[in-house]
Amino acid sequence: MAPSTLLDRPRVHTLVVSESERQLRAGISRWIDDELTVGAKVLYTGWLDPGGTVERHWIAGPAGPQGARRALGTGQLEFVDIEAVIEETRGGADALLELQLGGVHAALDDGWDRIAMSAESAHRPMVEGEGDQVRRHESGLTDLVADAPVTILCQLAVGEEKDAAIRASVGVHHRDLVDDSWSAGEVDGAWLVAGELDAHVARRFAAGLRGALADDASRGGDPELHVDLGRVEFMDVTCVRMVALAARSLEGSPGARLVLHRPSRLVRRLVDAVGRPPTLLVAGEDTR
Amino acid sequence: MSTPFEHLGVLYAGPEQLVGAILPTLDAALDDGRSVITVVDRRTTAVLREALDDRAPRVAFRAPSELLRPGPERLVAEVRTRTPRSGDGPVVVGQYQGFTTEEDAAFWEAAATLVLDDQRLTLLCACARGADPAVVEVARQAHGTLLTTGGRIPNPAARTPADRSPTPSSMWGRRVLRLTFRGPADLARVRERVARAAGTAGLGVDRTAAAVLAVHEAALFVCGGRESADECTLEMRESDRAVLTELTGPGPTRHDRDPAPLRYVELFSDAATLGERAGRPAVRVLSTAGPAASVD
Repeated sequence: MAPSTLLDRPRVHTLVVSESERQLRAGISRWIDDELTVGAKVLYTGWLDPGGTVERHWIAGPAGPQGARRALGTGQLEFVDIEAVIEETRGGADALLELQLGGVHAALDDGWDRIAMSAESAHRPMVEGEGDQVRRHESGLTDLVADAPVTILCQLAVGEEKDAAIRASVGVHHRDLVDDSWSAGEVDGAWLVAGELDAHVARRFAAGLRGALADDASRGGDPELHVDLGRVEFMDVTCVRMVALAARSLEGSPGARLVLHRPSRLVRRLVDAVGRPPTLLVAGEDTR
Repeated sequence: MSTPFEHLGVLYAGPEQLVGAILPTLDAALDDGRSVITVVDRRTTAVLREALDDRAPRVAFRAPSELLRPGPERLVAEVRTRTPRSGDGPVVVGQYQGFTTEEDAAFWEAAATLVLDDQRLTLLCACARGADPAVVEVARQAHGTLLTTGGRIPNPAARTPADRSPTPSSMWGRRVLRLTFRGPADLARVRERVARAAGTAGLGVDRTAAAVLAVHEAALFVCGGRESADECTLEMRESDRAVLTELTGPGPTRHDRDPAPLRYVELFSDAATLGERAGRPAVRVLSTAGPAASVD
């Protein structure tokens, strides 16, 4: 899984992003083993090969969680065929949420006091309007974890998804996401970013940033996004440009601003060199 | 306004012709209160002292053996220390010596551009027409302007530095890193290795971070910002608290040519140049532990 552990708090609705299927599976396996160890009921939604069974899925193999085979046998780990889900819900957010809520309630009724859910990349075609479905669905999951003892780990395998799906998924998960070299989350009202931000991950970083901006704007009033860069170990020109672009997108809204907190000296020099629109501020220099 | 970096060549037949070409420039410098340093042979020194007359004591006559052996690095360091933080810098007269090889000459000229072009000084490089033809050719190609007894003249034979210096990077010290990469996906690995090597070279925390950023941007440039079928290369050499990194790759595609492609590389390094190596863009990035306005 990604090298950065950003937040010192339990992660309840996280997106893990990886370009390497092997790395992604390794991270998922560790997460499942952790949840099984603490006694959670694990609901795993994944792809089966045509005619395949869960016993032939990687989760039950040597690359999977150590406790998977036993947990599949006892029912602590429950595999859900993603194709069956898609067929039943037709990709609709409300139907999918209802299905997932049903699974959670059933687990609670069975006496489980902690539920962990994870789903493999959905390979969404991202037709028009599907981005809204993604946002509705993920928003519903965020509400779910707020009301129930549920931990959710969403997966995004970059090599298997269209760019639009990647952007939509990263954007809606801006509050808690773990990528290969960077991670981000919402902490004390700020969007806290950690790790290394370079041209290779710039588009995903930009998607997360836009998601955070959109989230801020949805709360009403003039958008004012605070971005904490205190744990950013490296940031290049491409990603600084993404920040400047995002700030420029606020120029039509009087009072809107993007405030950077704790940038390193190097990042501050880079921000000045790239060019700061009036809507891009650095805390301490430009703000009281 | 302070003098920008000037780098002129002087091709001469004998000491008298050399002194005749440079004397007006030295007189003007002394009139302006600038310091003058010469690194020329004894015969030229004698002719120059006589020509300068009572102004001779104001000139620093240094021996070639002192500043040009084993290579010109000591002269570069001497010049940098004599350049004031504000106001005009010195006029420096350097002379190719009998022991100057073609490789030395090429390195010196590349180094002058690489290391000194942000300095406010005037550099006059003198080469006897009777020297080794290969050395004379280096001098001829290195200077866009020549200084003669008739004044300054443009030199159409001049070429950009990297074209004329295929090997001077090897004179920057021992190689400490060599790796290949194909595109942005590899750059995290590249940065880690560069950071380790630069840190070991004694650059210090802040300078190492700046060097890593500069090399990263240079790497992005040479790979064209995309995954490439062609391998890109990076070689880093270390000398006394300095690292020179040379990167080659396919470079940017035609329609995203940037008129100032190295501006961010330059911002976070002591110097950066763009040239060619085997038909591919080659970027050189110099990072030192010394003071540089870009970070401090």
